[in-house]
Amino acid sequence: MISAAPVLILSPPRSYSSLACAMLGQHPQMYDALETQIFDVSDMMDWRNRFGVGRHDGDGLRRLVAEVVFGSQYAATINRASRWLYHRQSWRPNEILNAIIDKLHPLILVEKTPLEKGDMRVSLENRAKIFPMARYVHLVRHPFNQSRSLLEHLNRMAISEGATDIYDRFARITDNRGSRSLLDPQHFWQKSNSCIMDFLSTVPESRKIRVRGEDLIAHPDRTLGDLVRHFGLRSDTRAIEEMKHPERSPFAFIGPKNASFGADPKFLRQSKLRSVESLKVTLLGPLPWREDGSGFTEEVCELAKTFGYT
Amino acid sequence: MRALFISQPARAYGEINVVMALAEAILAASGEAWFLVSPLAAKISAIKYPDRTFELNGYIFDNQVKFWRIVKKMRPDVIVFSAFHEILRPNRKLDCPLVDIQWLHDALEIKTPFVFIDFIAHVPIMTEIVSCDACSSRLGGTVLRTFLEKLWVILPCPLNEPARVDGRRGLPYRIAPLPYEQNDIQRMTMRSRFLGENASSDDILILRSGSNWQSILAEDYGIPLYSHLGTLLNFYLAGVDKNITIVSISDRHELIAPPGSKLRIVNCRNLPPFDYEQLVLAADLIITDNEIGYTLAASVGRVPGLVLVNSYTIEDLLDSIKPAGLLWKVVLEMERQRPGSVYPYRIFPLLADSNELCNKGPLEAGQYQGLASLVPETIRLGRMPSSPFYRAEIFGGRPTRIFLEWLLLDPESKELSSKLESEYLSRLAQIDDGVHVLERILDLDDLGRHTVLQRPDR
Repeated sequence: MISAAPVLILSPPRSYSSLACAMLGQHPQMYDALETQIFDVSDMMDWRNRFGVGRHDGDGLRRLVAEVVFGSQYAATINRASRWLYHRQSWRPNEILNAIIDKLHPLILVEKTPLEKGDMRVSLENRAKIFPMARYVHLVRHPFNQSRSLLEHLNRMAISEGATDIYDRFARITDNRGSRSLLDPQHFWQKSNSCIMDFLSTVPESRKIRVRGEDLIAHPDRTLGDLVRHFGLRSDTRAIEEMKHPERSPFAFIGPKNASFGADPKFLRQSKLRSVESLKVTLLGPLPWREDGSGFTEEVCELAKTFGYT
Repeated sequence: MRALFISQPARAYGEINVVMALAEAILAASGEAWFLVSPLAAKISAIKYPDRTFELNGYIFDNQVKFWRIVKKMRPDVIVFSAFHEILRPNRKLDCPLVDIQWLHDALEIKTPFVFIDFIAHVPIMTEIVSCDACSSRLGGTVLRTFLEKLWVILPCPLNEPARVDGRRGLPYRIAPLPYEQNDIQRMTMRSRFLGENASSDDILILRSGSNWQSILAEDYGIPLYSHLGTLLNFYLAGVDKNITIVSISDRHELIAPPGSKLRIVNCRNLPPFDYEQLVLAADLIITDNEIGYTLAASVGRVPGLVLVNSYTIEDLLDSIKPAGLLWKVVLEMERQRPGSVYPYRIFPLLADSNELCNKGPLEAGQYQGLASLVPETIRLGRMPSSPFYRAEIFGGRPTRIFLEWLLLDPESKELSSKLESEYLSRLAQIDDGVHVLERILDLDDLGRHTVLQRPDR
C-alpha cells in the first residue's frame, strides 16, 4: 500500500485556509485535517512541549488523531488521542503524519497549518523534507482584508483564555521602521507570501497552484475545478458539488473542551459556504489601522498585483 | 445511487468479482461506489478503482473506525455486504472482523439500508444459527435479530436460480447481461496467448481453475490432490487426438504434466479480472472442482463447464479400480502422503455431508451414466437450482475419460449444452439487473420477506 502524498495549503493566517481546507477535504478523493503545527518541531516531544495539553494550538492534531484513529471527537477520545501522542513522543513528525495518512488511504490528506510561527523558510523546507512529493496550494487573500482580519483576530485572542504566544504574534506584525511602532500586518503579509513563492519556485508546476481565497468563495465551481484538474483528481460535477459543503467536514464544529479549536473559530462556528458580500477594497489610499495615514508599501502593492489584486 | 460494498473474505476472489460487476453497473448508471474489502479483494478492486478501495485489516476497532469514516464522508444510500454469513459462524475467526454488538447497535441507528449478497444459499444457515440462542447471544441476540430483520437479501444469478423458488428469501438479480460478449479478435488474441501464434483452429484450450480458498484449505489439510491433478488430467485426455493446452490459474500451486506427456500445461498466476473473463470465454472447456465458483457463472452460455468430484471412499475405490493401474497408484500415493486424503467431496476439499454421499456402491466398468452426468438443476446441497454444468468423478477411470472425449469431440454434447443453457438464459433475461433491484429496495418499504429474517409484523 503506497499512500498518496498530501496536499499542503500554504498561506499566512487569516487567508481563508480553514474554509479552503474543509472544502478540499469534501472532495471524494481527499480528507481535510486541522492545523497540526507539526512542521516546525523536531520530534513529538518538542511538539508536546510547545502544543501539549492546555494549549489551543495543539487542538488540531489532537482532534485529527481522535477522529482518524479513535473514530470521534468526544472529550474521552481527545484524551485517548493525547495519550496516543504522548506514547509517540520519540516519533518524528513524518512518522506521525504517515501513520494518519495510512489510516486514511486512499484518501489524500489536506493540511493547512498557516505560516506564522518560527522561521518560515525552515518550516517550508521541513514540509518538503517530510513529503518530497507533496502538492501545494498557495492560498492568498487581498492584503487589506487579510491585515484587517488578522488585527481583529489578535485583538480577540488577547482577551481570550488559552491563547499562546500572544506577544510574539503581535510582535510579528509590528512595524518598527518609523519613529513610533505601529501594528500593521502588511509586511507580514508580504514576507510570508514572498517566502512561499521562493519556496515554490523549486517545485514543479504540476505540484503547485495558486488560488485566491476570494475566488474560492465567489466562483467555487470554476476555482475548485481548476484546482482539482491541475492535481489530476476527479473534476466531475458531483465532486465539485461535494466541495461546496465545507460544513460536512468532520471538524467543522467547535470541539469538546479539551480540544475546542484547531482552525479559525469563526469558521468552526459557521462553516457553511456563504456568498460573502465582497467589500470593495483597494491597494490605494491610507490604511485605517495606521495612525500615520500611510498606505501599502510599493513592495506590497507590487506583490499583490502579481496575485491579480488591485 | 451511492453504494458502499463490504467484502470481508480474505481467502477468496469470487465474491469480489461479483461485487465488482454490481459496482460497475452502479457507476455506469452515474452512481457512486466504494469498496471496503479484505486485502485480497482489494488487490482486485484497486486495479480499476484505486481511489475507491479501502482496505480492512485484522483489527476490529480499526475496521469499525474506517467503516464509519467512509459512511460519514461518502453518505452511501445503501451498504452491501458480500459475506455477512461469515460473521455469524460461532467458531469462525475472521481475518477481517468488522461486526460486533456495538456495531450492530450503531448500524440500527442509521437509516441507510443494509443488503446482503447471498451467493449460495447462506440465508437458511444464517437462520439456523440465529435460532440458536447460544450462537446468537455473542452478537447480542435481540439486536442481531433486529438487524437481520432489516438486512435485505439479493441473489446474484448465475449462482442462483433466476425463477421463483418457493420458500427462498431474497431478490434474484442478473449479475450481467449473459452470455458475456467476446469478439473474434479478443478470442483469437487470448487463444494465441496461450496456444501459441501458430496454433490451429483444431487445437483445444482448457481452462482449469479453482478458488484461492480451496488451495489454502488443501494446503492447511495437507491434501496432495493438486500434485497429482496433472497426471490425472493427462490420463483422461490421452485419447483425444488433438493438441491440448491446459491453462491452470492459481497463485498457490502448479499443475505438472507427467514425463512423456503430450499434454501442454501453462501455469499462470491469477489474472486481472478482464483478462480472466476473456480467457474463460476463449476456452473450449472449463474444468474446476468448485461448482459454486464465479468461473462457471462467467462461462454460462459460451463454454461448457465440468466439475470434478469424488463420491467414493478410498476403500470403495481400491475395491473397484484396476490394481496397479494409474488411478490405483495415484490414490494409494495420495493416501501414503497424507492418510485420509481420499474422501468424498462435492466441492474440494470440503468433506461431503451425508446428503451428498453416493449410494451407488462400488464402481463398475462401463457405468458411465452414474459417474459422469449432466447436472442441470442442483447446486449447493440441492437447495438452489442454478446454471447447468457437467459433473464427473475425478477417480472415475474409463467413464470419466469417455465423458471428457464426448465433451470435447462430439457435436451432440455442444447441442445439449446449448439447449440447457438457452433455457437458463431465457429465465435469466426475465429478472432485473442489480441496480434495479437495489433501487427497488431503496424505493419500497414492503419487501419484508426478502430480509434475512421475517419481520415479526408480517
